[in-house]
Amino acid sequence: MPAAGKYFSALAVVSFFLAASGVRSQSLPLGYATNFSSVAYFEPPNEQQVKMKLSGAEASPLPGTLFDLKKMRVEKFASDGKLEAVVEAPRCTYAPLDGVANSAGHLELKSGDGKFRVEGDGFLWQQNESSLVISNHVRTVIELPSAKPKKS
Amino acid sequence: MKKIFLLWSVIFAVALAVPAQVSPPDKKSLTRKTTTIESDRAEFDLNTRRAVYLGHVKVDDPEMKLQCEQLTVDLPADGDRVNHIVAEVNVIIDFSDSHGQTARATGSRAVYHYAVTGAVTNESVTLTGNPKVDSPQGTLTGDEIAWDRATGHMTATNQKMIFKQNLNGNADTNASAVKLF
Repeated sequence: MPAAGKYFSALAVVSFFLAASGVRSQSLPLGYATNFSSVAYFEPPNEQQVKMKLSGAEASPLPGTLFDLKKMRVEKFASDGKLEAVVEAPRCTYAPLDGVANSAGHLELKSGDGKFRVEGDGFLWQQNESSLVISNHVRTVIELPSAKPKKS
Repeated sequence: MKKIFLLWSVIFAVALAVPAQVSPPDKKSLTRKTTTIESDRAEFDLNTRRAVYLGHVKVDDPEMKLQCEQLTVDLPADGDRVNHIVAEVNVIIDFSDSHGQTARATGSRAVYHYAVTGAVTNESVTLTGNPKVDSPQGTLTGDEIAWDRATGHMTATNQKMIFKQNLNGNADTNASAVKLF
């Protein structure tokens, strides 16, 4: 069934997005920064492999331990180096202590092969609740092989 | 109709749907397709492994189109196959059968269920809430309409089937319908 694995893929992408919080302390600059990037690695024995890369054009500290991120891009990799997923947001406010990110702007999530994509405008990501809400104009595109089951 | 079976299987099949046996797909039968889901809003809950699409939900697929106001997808914890999908509120499913004839299924709720028990795969769809299936051949209504995905059987409780009479052998005939039940 086409819709089946697709949603699982969706979960994987969302999981990846949420997992970004796991390395937040390493990923964000302490002060203002431009063209920043930060990398998190796998646990041993794959400690040489990049697990996730967070990058952006600009990161500005805001009152209340918030960050204003511009052109945020998060890339998640498998332990073999294969790109698993990418999340991009032109702009968002991120509260690393609360594990909350939100924006009225656009959000795009896609699997590494581009066969699963979700985009929308306005989002709220709450790590503690493990929830992601996309508020407007949500569009999910799934490209997967589908099989026509045969009767036995 | 194929796609209906592909995307929706009934969980509340009651005693209507016959458990189906489906063999695994062979590689030659695999084709790549694109499915698009549009909605006003979407909520992903990783704790419950549930995705909910809300507001003007539209599923566009090469073999079917679905509209509803809420689409809930429960993701299995240990597999890659969705086994439970619920479409609610003003559900409209447009699909084509194997002969290319289009049909429309409507209702207030549609539930897809997929389960494998041993070598037997059950995949079904149940429509409730004034369910109705309109096709060139006729209209089926009932308290509940259930599809068995593998057998292609469609059954209904308290069913009423209205066949469209074609006196001229012309599909575009305006002949009045014949009420059989």
